[in-house]
Parts: sequence; structure tokens; C-alpha cells
Amino acid sequence: MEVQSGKCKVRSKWKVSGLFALLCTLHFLLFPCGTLAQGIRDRIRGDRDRPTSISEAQASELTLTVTKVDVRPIQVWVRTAGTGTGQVLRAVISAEDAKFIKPDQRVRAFPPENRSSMFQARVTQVVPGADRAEVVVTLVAPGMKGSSRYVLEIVTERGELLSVPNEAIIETGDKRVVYVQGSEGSYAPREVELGLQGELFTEVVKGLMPGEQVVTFGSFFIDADHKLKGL
Amino acid sequence: MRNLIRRNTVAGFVAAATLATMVVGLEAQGVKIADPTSVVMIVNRDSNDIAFMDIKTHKIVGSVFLGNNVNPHMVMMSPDGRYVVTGGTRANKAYIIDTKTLQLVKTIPVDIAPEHLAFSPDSRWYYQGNPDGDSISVIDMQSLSKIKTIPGFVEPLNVTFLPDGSKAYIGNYGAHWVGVVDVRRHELIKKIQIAEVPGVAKLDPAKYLGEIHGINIAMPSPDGKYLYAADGTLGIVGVIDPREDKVVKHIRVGKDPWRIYMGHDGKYAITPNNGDETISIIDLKSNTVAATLEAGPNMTGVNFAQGKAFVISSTSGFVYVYDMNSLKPAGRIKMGTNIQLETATTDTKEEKMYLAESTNHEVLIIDAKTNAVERVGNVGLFPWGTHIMDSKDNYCH
Repeated sequence: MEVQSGKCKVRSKWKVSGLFALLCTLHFLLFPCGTLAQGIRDRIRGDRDRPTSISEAQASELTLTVTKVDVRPIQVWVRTAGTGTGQVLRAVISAEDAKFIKPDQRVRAFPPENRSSMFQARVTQVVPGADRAEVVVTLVAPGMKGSSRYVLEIVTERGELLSVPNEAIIETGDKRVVYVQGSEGSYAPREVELGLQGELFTEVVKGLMPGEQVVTFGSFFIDADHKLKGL
Repeated sequence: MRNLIRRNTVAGFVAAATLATMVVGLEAQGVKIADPTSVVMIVNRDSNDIAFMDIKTHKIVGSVFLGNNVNPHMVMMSPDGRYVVTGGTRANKAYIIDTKTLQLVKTIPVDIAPEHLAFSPDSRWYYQGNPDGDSISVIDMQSLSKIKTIPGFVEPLNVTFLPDGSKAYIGNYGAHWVGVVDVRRHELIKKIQIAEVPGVAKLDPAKYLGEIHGINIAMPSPDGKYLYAADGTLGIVGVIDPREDKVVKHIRVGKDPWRIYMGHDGKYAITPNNGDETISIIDLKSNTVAATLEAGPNMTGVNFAQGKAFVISSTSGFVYVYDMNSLKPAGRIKMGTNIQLETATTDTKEEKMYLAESTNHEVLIIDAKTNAVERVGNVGLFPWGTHIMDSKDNYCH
């Protein structure tokens, strides 16, 4: 009896498995690969655009900080290696970067082994080439004794652009998301299109309006909370 | 020849017109300081303002009034040159000035009696020390708002950041430990005891447990490998390894060292010892005292330039000079009589020093090569300190 019953069970299990395999085959024939997994993820996460709520106590614990989307000057520090004797150093940069480098621009020079000792310098000459350019930099005062190599940071101003702090941006796959403050304690993710990335701020091309508040310090925690709640 | 002259004249006119247009254009945009490295900032305690002096012409090119009864203490420019900040000791507020336009853009309430401050190397955070509030206020330079107050310090006097900006070190003048702050979380994560208070403290508590002259600053060496913290009461310098945040060596110096100042070439550091009116010159390679030399009373600062060290004796009216190659005294410069010298900054060419003198409301410019002194008067009331962007001698007292 038990055996029969067992046989019966085995048979019915096979029947179910066969049906499942048939359905799967049909699904894979009808829909592209990966759609099933994507569907599950979508169901788990739900509507990504719905806001997540953070209590005042949580915000305080996370040191949650918001910053206004605003038009600000964006600085890009072009980093390169400079070598030379005395106070004159030479460095090679890309032609793209060279467009923004002009004589008299401020340069921060560091001996490579020593980041805490900074020497002020100025760009004295830019020699353009086909795909790269040579920059001549002069240290304002004598540099580190015995050091002929320096890490150079050439400070370039790229104009005033609508921007958000770099910290506000969360990269998820090929998407860039920021959390925008709605009503008090409510934060919703928004996909944005970005332009120039500066030292502290990144240009926003699409997705945000001036005056909106985005989460900077604590955005990672909000994103994690948003995902955990399955919003 | 005539053609050449005519061409040159035309070119001259074009250049002049372009320059004039540029100047007019900048003025039209409200730009008062186009190059943040071109000015010396002067913090005027009693006129409650920050004055800006042109480095080349020595003329005051602008000043920013902060408000009545503010008493600004220390001024500093952000490493990106965008903002100038100061803490108002009487107002319990931090002030943020836009460097280009010299507009006061934000006033932020902080804790009690803000004095010294520091920026993280990426200009992202401004840490304001509040000695009477025993705390550090963390100001976010992106939103220009205070995001946190870190408690648990004892008269926090100075803040220094590691070059990578990961940790900040807080000198506690009312204690014998250095606070380590995790800059990612803005939390006090460790207290590094510089040395144990000697057993004699129990026998003479008035001396050792009364008014503590603890740690003014934990100063990174120019190679960034160690931090040096002088303890006034204990008369020692503790060498801290920031990888483990442990004291790896003690160096005994003179009595009551005010703090430590780093030479620019990374060879030596100096502690002015107000207890016995000497200076101790520390060899940074061997971490030993290379020389102990006589100095003056009430020393408030040390500047380095042209292979010399200039030690400010605030109440004597003298600046003591030392040759940093021979490690011997090289005379003293008389700055005046019945005057109060405050603190100085050195220009980035390391040619001149700008010393605030509060009695006559002036800045004294010392030529480091010749020791000649130039006086610039009427800079504001009670100039307390000076600051130049990227100078290696930016400090306060």
C-alpha cells in the first residue's frame, strides 16, 4: 500500500515537474532571457519612485544632510605627474584637459611620498600637441630638497552650472539616482542625467530643478532603507 | 619701422581695452578678490571684521563686518579658495564669507566660545573647535549648515586632519590626551593619552590638577608619518603613529611648552617653552632634542623662512631669530616698545611674514632675508592674527 502510494506520489510529482518544464520552455520561447528574474526583482522592490520615510530620530542618528540643487561654480582639479629640476616642472596632460589650462592658473604640488607638505605653484606655459599637451609649472618657493617629482593638481574653474554634491549621487547599474526631499522626513529616488563632474559638485543635465533639496550625507542609508522596505 | 610702431600702438590699445573690459566685467559681477592667493587675511577682534590686504601693494582691499560683539578669533580660507571662515568667540557663531565677492553668506550658531578651526583637505568639512563648550561643531561646506556637534572633549583648542582626510586629531588643552575623530562618521573614536600624570600629582594636586596646560595641537610632520603633541604641564612631546593611533615615543623638552611648530623642510620642529623662556629644537629624524636655546617671555608663535626660525615673544616686543642650519641664535628684531605682538603668517614664497600687533592696530611685515620691518597701520581694531592661503605657517593662539 505504502509502495503503491509512493508510486502514486512519484508519478504525480513527475506530472507536476513536466508541466512546470513545459511552462518554462514556453516562457523562455515567448520572452527574452532574464525577464523572469527581472520580474521577481520588480515584484520584490515594487515602485522605486515611491518615497521612503525617515523619522526625526533616525535622521539625527544618520546625521542626515540635505543640500539645495543650485547653480554653483564647478572646480575640476586636473591631476598629473610633474618632473624637473629646481622650481620648474614639466607635465603631460590630455588635449581635452589642456583646453581649460592657462598660464597663471593655481597649482598644488606634492612630493609623491608626502601628501601633507603642499607647495603652491603656477602654470607658466601650455604647449599644445596633437592629442596631448605639455604644461610648464613653476613652484612659488623652492620645493622639497632632493625631490624632482611632484604630484600636480591644476585647479581649473569650469563655470557656474546647475549642480548637486558628488555625495548625493548613487550609481545603480547604469543609472544615476539621487534622493529628493519631499515633505518633512520623506525622500524619493529620482533618476538624473549628469554632466561635468567636479571636485565637490557634479553638473545636473536633466531630472532636477533648482531649489529642490537632495540628500548628501546619509544618502547611502536612505537607499538601503528604501530597498529593505521594498518600496 | 613706422608700420611696426603703429602696429605696436594698436596692439597696445587693444590689450589695454581688453584689460579694461575684463576689470569692468569682474567689477560688474561683484568680484572683489579674483585670486584667493593674492591676499593676507587679518582677523580684527575688536572691530569685529576680517580685513583683506593685497600681498603686493600692502593696501587693504576690502573688509567684511561680522556684527557687533562678535570677537572673531581665527580666520582660514578653504583649500579650494571659495570661502573664508571664522569663529566669533563672543557670539558663539561661525561666519562664512564668499572669497570672490566678500559677502557674508552664512552665520551658523555653534557651541560656546568658538576659537580655532580647520578644513578637511578636500574643503568638504569645516571643524570649529569650541573650547568652553568642550565640543567640535561640524559644518558641511556643501549645504553651509552645521550637521553635528561632537561632544566629549576638554577645552579643544586645535584641529588637524590627516592628508587623506580620513581622521581628525583634536588637541585638548584641558587634558593630557588627543582626540581622534572618524571624519566619515564625525565621531570621537579614540583618546590617545600622551603620558600618565606623574605620581607627584597626588602630592601636589594644586600644581598638577589645577589649571592644566595640556595639549594645544597634534601637529603632523611634513612627511605625514607622525603627529607631534606637546603637553605643557608634563613638559614633553608625544610622537603619535597615526596608523595605530599610539604614542611611540616621548621627548622631554623645556618647561611648559606652548605647542609644536614644524619647520618646512621636515628636518626640525620647535617648541617654545614659556615656563623657562627657552625653545627646544627637535630633530624629526631621531626624535630627540637637537638644541635648547634661550628665548623670550610669553611666546605665541614660530614662523620659518629663508633657513631661519622667527619666534614671537608677545609681551617683550621682540622677535627672536634662529639659524636653522647651525641651530644657533641669530639675533632678535625689535618690533617696538609697549606693544603686544600676536601671531604671524608666512607668504608662500617664504620671503615675508605678516605679524599682527594689537596695541597700535597694525600689521608688521618682516623681510625674512634682511630682517627689515615695514608697518601697515589702521588694518582694523585689535588685529589678532593673519592668514595666507596655502601658507605653511597658518596658526593662531
